[in-house]
This record gives sequence, C-alpha cells and structure tokens, in this order.
Amino acid sequence: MRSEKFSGLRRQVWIYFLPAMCVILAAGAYLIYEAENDYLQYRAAAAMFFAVVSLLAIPFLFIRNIVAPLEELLSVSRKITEGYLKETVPIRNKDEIGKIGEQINALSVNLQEILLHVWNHSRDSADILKRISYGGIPSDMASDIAAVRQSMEDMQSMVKTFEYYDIRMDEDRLMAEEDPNRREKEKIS
Amino acid sequence: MGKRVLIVDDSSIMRKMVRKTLESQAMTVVGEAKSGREAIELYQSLKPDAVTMDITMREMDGFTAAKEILAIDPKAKIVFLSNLDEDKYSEDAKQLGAIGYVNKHRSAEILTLIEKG
Repeated sequence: MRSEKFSGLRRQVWIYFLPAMCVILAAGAYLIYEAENDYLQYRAAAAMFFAVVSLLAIPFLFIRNIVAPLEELLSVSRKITEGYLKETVPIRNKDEIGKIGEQINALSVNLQEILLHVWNHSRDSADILKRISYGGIPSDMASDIAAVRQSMEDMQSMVKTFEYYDIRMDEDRLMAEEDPNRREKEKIS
Repeated sequence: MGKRVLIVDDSSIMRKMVRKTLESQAMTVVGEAKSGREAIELYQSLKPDAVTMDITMREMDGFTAAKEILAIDPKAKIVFLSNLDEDKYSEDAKQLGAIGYVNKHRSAEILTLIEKG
C-alpha cells in the first residue's frame, strides 16, 4: 500500500514541481555555460540559486497551507461519517478550507440534532405504546401495536450507534457529557 | 406588539424550527446566535424581551451564557430549550434564574413560557 505521505495531492504537487525544477535547472546551467565572462557567469549562478530556493519554497508552502489542512479535514469528516459526531474540524483560518470545515461542523451539529430529536420522539412514543399495551388491547390490534413498538425500538438502536458531542446516553436519558453546572461550580470554587 | 426574542442554538435546523414556532404566534425573532459567547454579545446589543437557549453548544454552553446574561441583566427572561433529560436539568435551569426548561421535541411549549414571562 502506498504511503499516505506520498499519495493524493502531495504526490501531485511533486509530480508537477519536479519537471518544472528540472527545466529551470537546465535553463540555468545553459545560461551559466553560455555566459561571456566570469562576472556574467557569477550573476547567472546567483540568479539560478535564488530561483531554485524560491521554487523549493512553493511546494512546501502549498503542502503546509493547503494539503495538510485538507488531509485534516478528510480525516475528521471520515470520523463524522462513521458516526463519531463528537469530532469537530479545528478551524485555523478563515479561508475557503476553514469555511468548508465550518460547514462540515454545521452538518454534524444538524445531524446530531435530528438524531436526538428522533431519539426523544421514539422514546416517548414507545413509552405510550407500552402503557397502551398494559391497559389491555383487542387481540386484532396487539400485533400492530407490537410492530410499531418494534419500529420505535429500531429507531432508538440506530440513534444509539452514534457518539455525540457533549452528550451521553444514560439508559434512555440524555445527559451532558460534561455537566455544565458542575463545570461552572468548579470554575467558581 | 409581539415579544422580541433572541434564539440561541448551534444547530441551524433547530434555529429555523424555533423561528417558525415563534413567528406562528406573531413573535419577532430579533437575532440568532450560534454559541453562548455570541448570545451574550447579541443580548447586550439587541436587548430582547426573551431568549431561547440551547445547553450543549460548542463554543460556550447555555448554562454559562445564561449565567453571564443574568449577571448583566438580572431581569433577563431565559427559556432553556434542549434535548437533555428534563427531570435532571429543569431544576438546574430554575435555580439559575431561567423562566423555564422545555425539551426540544415539545418546543411549542416555549410560547406559553415566553408569553407569561
């Protein structure tokens, strides 16, 4: 398996950069060779040296400022896709990559909200159906009610497969992972 | 004239839902905040009649924000609107000085609290 470090965009950066560097080195070597005197040769060599150093900075800056944040974005979004909604994309810059990060976080917040909404409604509905069942129901309705209850429980099982930001499930109750009140009290004391 | 309300929630879907609920009863949404920190700033500049406050938010949680808003304005009318367990957190909300606690899946109940508030 190809190393992550030299795959995708990182690899492409070097694929584009290395031929360009070779062309510049060849052109520089030609200029040095063709220079009419030592002074011009020295100037051509100095110019080539600065050109190479500046050019070398481009892929490194590109990787540091664009490829690395994109890789971080990919890694976090992959975790969110797998159901770890407690993961958030760190927003380091206000550029386009930062804005994509903000949108991924917003999507994750909305997904959590929808799932918890489903959780609360399905739990309440399952409780109501349980009470109805205890009250005694006509036998022709019993299987329908059992089927609806099963649907509610299936929905709850689905919601339980996710890990939520700052929320844990204590049996069927939703609790703050870090009790905000406790955090406040600790801050005061 | 309807009450002027500030909505605080980190979920855009939830803010939309709360806005719809409030506007159905001729209340005016004067602003929306995505975090507790933003809520404090908006409360000071907008001076709303009431605030609907989520609890779990990424930048600053609702309890901390409510505490700071109540320190600035002890008469602030704050309704907590959260997915968290009502039995456990409604008491905490009242102790903090909020006018109530409503579970998000029964969000229409905020109308009565804000109207009475």
